[in-house]
Amino acid sequence: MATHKLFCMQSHVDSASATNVPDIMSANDDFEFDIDREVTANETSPSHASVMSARATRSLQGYAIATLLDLMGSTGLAVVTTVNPGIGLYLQKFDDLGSPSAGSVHRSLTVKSGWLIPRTLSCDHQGHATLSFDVVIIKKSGTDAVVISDVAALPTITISPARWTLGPIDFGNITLSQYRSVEIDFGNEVNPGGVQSDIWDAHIENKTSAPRITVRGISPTWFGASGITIGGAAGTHANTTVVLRKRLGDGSGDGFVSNGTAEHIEITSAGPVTVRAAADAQAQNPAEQSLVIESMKDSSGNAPLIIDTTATY
Amino acid sequence: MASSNETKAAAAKQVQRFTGCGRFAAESIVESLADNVATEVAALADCDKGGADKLQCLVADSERKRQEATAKRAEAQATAAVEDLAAKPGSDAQKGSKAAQKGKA
Repeated sequence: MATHKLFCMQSHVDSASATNVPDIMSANDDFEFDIDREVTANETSPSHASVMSARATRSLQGYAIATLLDLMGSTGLAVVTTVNPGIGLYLQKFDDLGSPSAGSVHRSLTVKSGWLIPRTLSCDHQGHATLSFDVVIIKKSGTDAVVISDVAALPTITISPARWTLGPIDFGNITLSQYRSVEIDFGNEVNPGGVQSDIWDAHIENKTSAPRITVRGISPTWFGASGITIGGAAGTHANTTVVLRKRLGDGSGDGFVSNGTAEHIEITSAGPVTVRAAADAQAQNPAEQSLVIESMKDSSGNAPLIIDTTATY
Repeated sequence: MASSNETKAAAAKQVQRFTGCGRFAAESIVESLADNVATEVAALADCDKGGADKLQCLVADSERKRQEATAKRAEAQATAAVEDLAAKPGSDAQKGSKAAQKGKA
C-alpha cells in the first residue's frame, strides 16, 4: 500500500521553459461527466449508458504569488504543448512506513492543453497573500486530457519559499490607511467548447477579463470629502496601486524585505473607484468600509491590471 | 547606452502593460522578436548576431537621445516664447512687473 501527498506544480508549456512552482497549498482535479442513461419504454432500468461529455478543471491555491503571476499574468496562459509536457501536478509517494519513496516512483497528472488562469488573489491583515487559480482542461492532441504517470521523478524546486502580505494601498488618488484586506477578482471568463460530438472540449477562449479590486478596512474617512465621495473617483494606473510586501523568510529584522529591494509586488489599475460599504457595522466591533475599483482598459490601451513582481515602494 | 538586457526588460514590461500576460511570456515574446530582428540586421549589415544585437542597442539609444533632444528643444522654445511675451510692452506680465516696482517704491 502507498499513499501520495501533494508536492508541486510544474508549468512547462511550449512558449516557456519549465517552472517548478513551490508553496502550493491545495489542488483539486475535478472531473465532470455527463452520462446519458435514459430509461426507454421497454425497460425499467437503463439498458444503455453513454458518456455524452466530459470536462475537467484543476483548481489550485498557493503562496508563490510572484512566480505564478509571472507565469500567467492577469489574463492567463494558454497551455499549448506539442514539444513540452504541459502543466504537471506532482504527488509524492510515501511507503507503508511513512517515509517518502525514493526514485522515479511518484505520480504526475499532466494536462496537455487548456488554459492556466488566475481567479482571485486575496490577503487579510497579518495573513499571507494567496492566489487561487485554475487549469481549465481541453483535449487537443491524441493523448488523454490528463496523462497519468506513476514513474515520475519529483522536480527539483529552485525557487525560494516566499510570502507576501498587505503593503501600501492607493485608491483613486487617496492614500488609504487602516485597511484590513484586499481581494483581486481577476474576472476571467474562460469558455471551453467542443465540436463533432467529441466527448472532450477541443477549443477554449478567455473571452472576458474584467478584474475588480476590493479593499476593506476600518477607516470611516474613506467615504467622504477627504476620501472617495458619493460620486466616486477616477482610478488610474498612476493613482491606484496595491502593493504586496514581501516578508522576510527567517524572522529577522522587522519581518519585511526592505522597501527598496525589488522583490515586492505592485498591481496598478484603472477604472471607477466607488464606495461599496460606507458602514458595515456590528455591535461592539469597528465599523467596516469597503472600496472597489472596477478595472478597465484605459485610453492608452493599458491592460486593466498592470503587475510588477519586481517592484520597490 | 542601455544594455541589450535592459532594453529587452523594458520592452517586456511594455508587452505586459498592454496585454496583461505574465512576465515570462512577455520576455519570451521579446526574446523571439529580438532574435528575429537580430537575424535580419545581421543579414543586412553583414555581421554576426552579436554585432547585430549591439547595433540594435545603438539604434534604440540614438532614438532615445533624439527624443530627449526634441523634448529639450520644445521646452527651450516654450520658455523663450514666454519670456518674449513677458518682455513686450503692455503685456500682462510687464504690467505686473511695473506694478510691483511701484509698490516697492
